Amino acid sequence: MSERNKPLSFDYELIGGTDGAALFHDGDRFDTQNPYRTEGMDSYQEGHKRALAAAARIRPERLPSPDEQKVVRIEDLSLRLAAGFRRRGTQADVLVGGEQ
Amino acid sequence: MSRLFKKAMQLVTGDPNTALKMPKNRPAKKLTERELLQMESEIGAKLFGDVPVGHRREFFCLDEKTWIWYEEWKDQKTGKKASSTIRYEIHDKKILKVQEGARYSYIEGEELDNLLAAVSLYYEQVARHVYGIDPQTGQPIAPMAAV
Repeated sequence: MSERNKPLSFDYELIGGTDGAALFHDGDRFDTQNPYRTEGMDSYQEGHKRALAAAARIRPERLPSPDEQKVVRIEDLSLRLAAGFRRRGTQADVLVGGEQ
Repeated sequence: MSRLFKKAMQLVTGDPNTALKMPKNRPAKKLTERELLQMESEIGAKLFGDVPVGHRREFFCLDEKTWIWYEEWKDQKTGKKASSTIRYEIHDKKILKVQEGARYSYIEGEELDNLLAAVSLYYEQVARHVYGIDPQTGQPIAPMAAV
């Protein structure tokens, strides 16, 4: 077996694949491996694209839900308020109070 | 109620007799975190409509991960002071609602929509009226020309 065709050791969760690429999820991110690139597959990029499409079909829950997006928005605004505006407001030489 | 939470509430609410009011013509100056929280909360309390007579309400962003709703009123039957506190904690992908009596729940649906709307309004108004910052750009708002 050539190096190119050596099977992968599956350290990742296999969640999708095509005839040219396999898609994995390692807990934090998607990743693709393409050890079995076959004739007919135009390029690694093409395999990657197909694998992502396969993942979207197989594991749609991996995509942020509308509720998760709302939580992200609340978190973002909270961060801007507490760690941004307020922290700056307590530091010297910062003018606060919009109703002067 | 935990000591930490009591301390946080005291930080904001302080002594009601000496509660900070936002003066219209105060000089611009550096303020303490407590004063800033009080000013923010005065805006937060009004986001949900008029506060009923005899009630006192606080709504504010305590820190990067916590929002507080506090309401205080006098019980009509007993005449005693009553209050309710809700803490919203931002967790990974969810918001945990913590109420007195060790009641916990993740919020969803209309309640999550309402919290997002309140937080967005709070951010907009606090940015403009407390910090003098344009909420869209994050840049200081140019002072208005004297009339």
